Amino acid sequence: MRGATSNKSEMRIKSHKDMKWRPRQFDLLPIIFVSPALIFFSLFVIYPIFQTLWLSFWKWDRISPSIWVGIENYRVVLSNPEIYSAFSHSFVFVIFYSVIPIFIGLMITLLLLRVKVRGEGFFRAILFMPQIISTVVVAISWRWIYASDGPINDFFIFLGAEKITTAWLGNFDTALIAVGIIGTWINYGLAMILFLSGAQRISQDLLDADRIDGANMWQEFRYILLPSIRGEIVIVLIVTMTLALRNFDIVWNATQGGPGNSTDVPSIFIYKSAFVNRYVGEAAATSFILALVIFSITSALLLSRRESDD
Amino acid sequence: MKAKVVIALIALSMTVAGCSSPGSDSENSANTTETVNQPVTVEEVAALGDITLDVWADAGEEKTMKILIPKFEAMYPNVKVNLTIKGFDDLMSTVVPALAGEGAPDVAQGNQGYGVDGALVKAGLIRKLTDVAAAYKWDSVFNSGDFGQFSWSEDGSQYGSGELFGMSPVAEFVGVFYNKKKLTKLGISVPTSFDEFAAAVAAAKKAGETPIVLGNSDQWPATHVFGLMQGAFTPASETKDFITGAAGSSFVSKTNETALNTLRDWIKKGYFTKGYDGVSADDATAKFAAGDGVFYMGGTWFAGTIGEGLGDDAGFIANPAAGSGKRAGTGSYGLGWHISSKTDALSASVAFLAMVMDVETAQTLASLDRIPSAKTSLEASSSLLKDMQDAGASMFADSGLTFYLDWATDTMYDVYTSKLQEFMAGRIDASAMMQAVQDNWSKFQESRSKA
Repeated sequence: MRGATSNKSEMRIKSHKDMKWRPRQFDLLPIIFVSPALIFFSLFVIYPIFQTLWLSFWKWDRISPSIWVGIENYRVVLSNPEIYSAFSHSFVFVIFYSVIPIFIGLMITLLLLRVKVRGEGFFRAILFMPQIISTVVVAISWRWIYASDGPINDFFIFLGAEKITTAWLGNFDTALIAVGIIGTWINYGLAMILFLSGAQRISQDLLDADRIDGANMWQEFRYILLPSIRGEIVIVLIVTMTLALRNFDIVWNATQGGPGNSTDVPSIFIYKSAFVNRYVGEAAATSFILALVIFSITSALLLSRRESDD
Repeated sequence: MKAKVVIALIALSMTVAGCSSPGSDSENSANTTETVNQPVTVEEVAALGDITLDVWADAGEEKTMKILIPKFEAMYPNVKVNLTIKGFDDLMSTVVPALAGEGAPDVAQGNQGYGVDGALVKAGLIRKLTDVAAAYKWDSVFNSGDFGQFSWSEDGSQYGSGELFGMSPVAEFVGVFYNKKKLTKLGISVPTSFDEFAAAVAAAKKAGETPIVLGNSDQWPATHVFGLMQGAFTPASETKDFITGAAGSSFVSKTNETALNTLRDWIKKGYFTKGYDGVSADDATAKFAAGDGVFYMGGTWFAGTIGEGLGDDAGFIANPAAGSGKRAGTGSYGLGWHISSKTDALSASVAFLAMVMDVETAQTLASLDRIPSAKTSLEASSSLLKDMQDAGASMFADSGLTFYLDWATDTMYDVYTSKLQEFMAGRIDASAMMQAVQDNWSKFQESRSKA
């Protein structure tokens, strides 16, 4: 194993040496080319991250002089049971925002791989539509759909199942799932589009051969589709899990974290701390914890992808 | 190379981020120490030269400002008013840092209680108005007993008495709207006591109506409903003492327990809109205005929507009183007007505030369906407005405006709204609900005394 690695390195060094046109001294040109992006990234990503980290060590209400409190804000946040319940809601959202959309996306992809549908492009566009609609519009529309006198309850009444009608977003037992379903509706289109684009790489010859050999749908899914779009699955996982964990707009516009705290998520906690109650340090500490959680999960996913690629 | 660039960026960011403590460059020093002894004259304002007066107001003031600002600019031609209108939530989250920062507005609306006004007073961002009140004799125009909601000790540590830091020319309070046509149809007379009100909602339920329309997805509307229940059973002074942080106050009381259990009992009996936690306040108001339900326990600020929908069929009563016979319930003067302590146009700011508070402005406010807090006779543009003016008069006479419970601490809103929802859904009992509110209050009082 070590031998193979060193051989690779030698080959790389050798090929570099062979490229005689490449100047040996420090080359400013690439830096100049990337500098606009680098400056933008530094100003709007790197700097705010460290600014947030810095703020998280201070007690500050946006008006009075700030007081250095070290890690006290982290202690306060982590000793608040409500933050754990907020994170637990986020992890429930991961199922609805990530796992279920991926499952639906895979099913649609598999179906379109086997069945040729007339006007497939049109259906793709329709199914992708939820992804491009403003989340505020989506949340407000769903609020109407879920209302006591909304279409879902009308449907149940039509079926004679009036007993199960409820205010879906106002019921402590159903609100979290109801908000989760909004996320599923938004994200499955993204999963489907990415999976379909990945599936287009699959050679038709391979599919034909597979079918001549008598492979069933499950075998086609397990041995052809899944390995072919593994990269896309990881990308969708990263994007949708990040959306689930930093979810704010849908929850805020659908329930504002209620009823009670039953749909509270860390982002709502951060918003209220920073802008309503003006506990800026605690908000920054919560933000940093949330960023760390998201960073850890996405890093683990990227690493697992790299390892499986190797 | 790549690693070096990243390390350099991180180092640079940390240096820039960490070069100073947050907020260390903010300038909170007051520009004005002069006292106002007499009403400001046109000449005094003219002496400022051509100036722009920056005013921040809540969206609810827009119509009023459209009438008052041209009048003000005509009276003080050297002053141009630059009005910034913000929605309530936006105003609440931005007015404190705005008054703390560079280019602070000269005149701005805050909100009573520790969350906003308390922070402004404590940081010295707004000017005392005790001298202005004396110069303009506000105590003869308004009920001086109501000044407590804008009064603070100079360091902002004590609420409810001390120096006056704000004022509002209107009152906004929660009462009971009713549909006259429905009451007549059901053969129910307008309730004059809490027992009659309870009997009326029971009769409405029996007749198959929605007795009380409620939409609580925004979480605060149920606090107003509870405020009325609390007003019926708990003396107003006790509730106000708790909100202003008077030592020894407690939310855990027999009367509050009775109010909570009455509310829960009414929920169990199906007196409120089905699925109220999934209905927004605006939707509920629109439904009542469209003829749904018999009663609506809501604020006077809904009069526009309800009056437009029900027309002459809309009626309003002050919160029906229980045993004591005194009217009490959630309500206060409107969002207080403040003068920035940094203003360099004090006379113009005082003149502007004086015009807003002027007794002559009261009729303008009444014509816009608002309830003036000034003691003056007014013409009502509709029977609904007349009902509200009468209700206001009885609430003022009984000193029955019990403020808003979320003023009590800077985090009370979240605790109160969420725990009340849990209680109403039967997930916690009255003791747990009261204790959660009390714990939040005690923790806040403790931190204040330490500070």
